[in-house]
Amino acid sequence: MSKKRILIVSIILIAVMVMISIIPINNYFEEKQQKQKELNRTLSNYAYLAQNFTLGIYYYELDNPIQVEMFPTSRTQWKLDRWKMVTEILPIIEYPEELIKENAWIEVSDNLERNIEHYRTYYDSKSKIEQESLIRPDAIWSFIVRNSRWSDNLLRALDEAGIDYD
Amino acid sequence: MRKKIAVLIVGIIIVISIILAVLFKRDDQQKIVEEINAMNLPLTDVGPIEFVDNDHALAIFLWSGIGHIGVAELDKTLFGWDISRATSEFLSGDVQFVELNHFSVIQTWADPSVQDVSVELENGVIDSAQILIKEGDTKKGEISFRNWLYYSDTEDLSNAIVTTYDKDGEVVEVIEVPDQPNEGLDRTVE
Repeated sequence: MSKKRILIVSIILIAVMVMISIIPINNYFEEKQQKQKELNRTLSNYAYLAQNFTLGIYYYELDNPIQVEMFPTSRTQWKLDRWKMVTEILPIIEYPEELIKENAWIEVSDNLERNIEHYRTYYDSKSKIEQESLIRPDAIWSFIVRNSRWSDNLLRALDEAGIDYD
Repeated sequence: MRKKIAVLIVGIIIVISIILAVLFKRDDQQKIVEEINAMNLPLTDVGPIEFVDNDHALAIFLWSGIGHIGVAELDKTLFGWDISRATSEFLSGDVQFVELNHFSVIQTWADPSVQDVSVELENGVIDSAQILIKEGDTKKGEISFRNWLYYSDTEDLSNAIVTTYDKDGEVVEVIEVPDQPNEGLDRTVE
């Protein structure tokens, strides 16, 4: 009888010990996975910025913490010139000269996205008929970043202002 | 008798583990490609890889279609390879002159007619650069690379003169290396 009891008690003890040890191991792997996801997201963000503004990237450190420096290439100016043209016909879009000079490209990109959203709020507040003669908010990003020509209103506004975008 | 059997069993275990290790060993090339892909750059196409020695490698890669070109320096670790430093620039076709962790590197596309590449350093030393080739699998949409590459962990490559020659020894191009590496790093928009 007592032998059986010892056996049961020891089985329970072992089970409890296994459970206790599994929790931290599990946490460790979950944390690791989470960190990897964050790293991947950060790396993707840099790639996205580099593509949008044709920037160069120097990777000092690719692991925790990621350390990179971004810099303009010969192609960046061309995109910024288009950005400046848009500010002349749409004053709601600003050109963050200081941030651009500091190579603070994350903030630079955020600035453009934020201003386009402000403009979108204004655009959405107008009636459908009024919207037809306005520049579509998505056209701004496409014009600056993708060199897209699909917005007649944007191109017409540039023409009227006498801005040469070719 | 028992001893003999024990020796036999140990012998068999050793042989099996060696076979397994060989079978499951991914080659260095593959590991380096995986490492560069882990940089999460869209449409990465890893080009030629230069194994400097057992512990160091340099890899050229393109990404974003053929919009950007990069060079990575990798160190061998216990289980694979780790990127110690890397750089990516707009693919302009100009010579890329970068300083990574241990190595200074100059490289760019080699014209198909180029057979020989000679590098004259500022201190007068003359050496030849290698032409690295990687045939891309066109079915997978891969790009074929043909780049010349020169690197050093001791010499200064600033202001070097690179001359490329065709098969008849005629000069194809003379390229001047900039006076500063990583030129873009200090660059700002005017």
